[in-house]
Amino acid sequence: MTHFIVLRSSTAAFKAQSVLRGFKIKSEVDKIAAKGGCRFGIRVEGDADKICRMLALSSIECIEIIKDGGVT
Amino acid sequence: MIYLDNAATTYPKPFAVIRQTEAALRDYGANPGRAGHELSRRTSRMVYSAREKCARFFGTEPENTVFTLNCTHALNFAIKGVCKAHGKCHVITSDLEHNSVIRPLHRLKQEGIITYDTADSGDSDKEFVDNVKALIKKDTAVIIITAGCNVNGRIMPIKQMARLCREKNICLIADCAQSAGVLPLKITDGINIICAPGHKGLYGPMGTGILATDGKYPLSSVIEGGTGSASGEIGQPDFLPDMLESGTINTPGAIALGSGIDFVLSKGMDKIFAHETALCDLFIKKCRDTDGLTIYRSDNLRYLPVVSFSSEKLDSNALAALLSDNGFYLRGGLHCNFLAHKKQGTLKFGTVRLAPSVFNSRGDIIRLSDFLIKHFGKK
Repeated sequence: MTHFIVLRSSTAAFKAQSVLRGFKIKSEVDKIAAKGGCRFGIRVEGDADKICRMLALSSIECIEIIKDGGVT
Repeated sequence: MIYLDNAATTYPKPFAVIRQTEAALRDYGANPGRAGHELSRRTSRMVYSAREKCARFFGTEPENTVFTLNCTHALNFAIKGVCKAHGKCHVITSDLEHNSVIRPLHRLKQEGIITYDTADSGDSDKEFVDNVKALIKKDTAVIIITAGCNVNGRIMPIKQMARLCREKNICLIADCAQSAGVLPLKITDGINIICAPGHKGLYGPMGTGILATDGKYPLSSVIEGGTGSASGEIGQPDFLPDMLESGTINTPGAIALGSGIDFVLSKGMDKIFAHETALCDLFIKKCRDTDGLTIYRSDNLRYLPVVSFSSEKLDSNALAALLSDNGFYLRGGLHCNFLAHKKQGTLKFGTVRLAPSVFNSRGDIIRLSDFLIKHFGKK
């Protein structure tokens, strides 16, 4: 299942992608219409909560997890 | 043509920087961090890659690395940002600061937000640090110091200031306008905010600058607007880098700046410093006995590869014009730093500034020195 993790900014999204690459987790930076207007984030497969915990170790805050996709 | 005005901006730029600027204009032409389409994402990825390089270079995280238009822009963001976020406070600076430090401070003072004192840089690092210590008050919240004076090249004891600021819980802002690319100063040295131009020692294009922070001291935005993030909220985002990057950034500039940093790292900062210092030393050695020429250097201080000199026969702008007419491009005048000129007694006529880059050779310096000696004669 694909999830969309909403992050603070485009910079945070690319940093998240870079961090996850280090764990061999694929992700795609994308933009979504979410709470508070347009938001950048990453699309990931697998356990989004676990991915957010991994990102928190690099001080990347997950704003919201939109399970099963999200509308771009 | 021999260009020796690299303290104003480095010229020429490395081929990699020119190529990357062209590639950015040609291949990464969408607005980064705004749209979700592929070209925008590709551009954003390139900007992020450049941001990551800048962050690594200054020892911080990409989100704490802000692209600005130049060092003045970064300094205004840092000085006004920290002081406004903190509220009424006292600031200490030095008597060697560029107008890009002293003018924002003066403005904040006029607005009643800060009071500030200027520490005498003295004749040694110890004297300067003691002078700063003596000025610290209960409400001193910020110390802002140049890492190296743009007029005479004097290197300031930033690491000692960092230790002092850490002890006193004071925010240290370092103006690295002349030092970035030759002195390896980093946030990890205990500096809270580093402001640097992209277009000088980092060999990026003009219109680029960097504010790097450890994130410890809150900043207030100085201009507000579109950031591509939190677009549904009326308030400016409170997180970096977006808080300080309203409006479209200089995207080709930022991308090419990443190549400038690669260039500096490939050459080695220590080697660049040694090369440029050797050229300055050669100039000083050759011109020391030129009739009527004063070189503003002291034996017991450390210097960046920048040399100021003046002639008792011509004012600095006339001397710079004479040099220009003969193919030597150096800057004359006050170099936007009246404090340093006041300190060294050159406020009236200014100085001519020699600032080599990695692309200058001993031959350039020998030709310049020979011209000055021939024109003015030996003592």
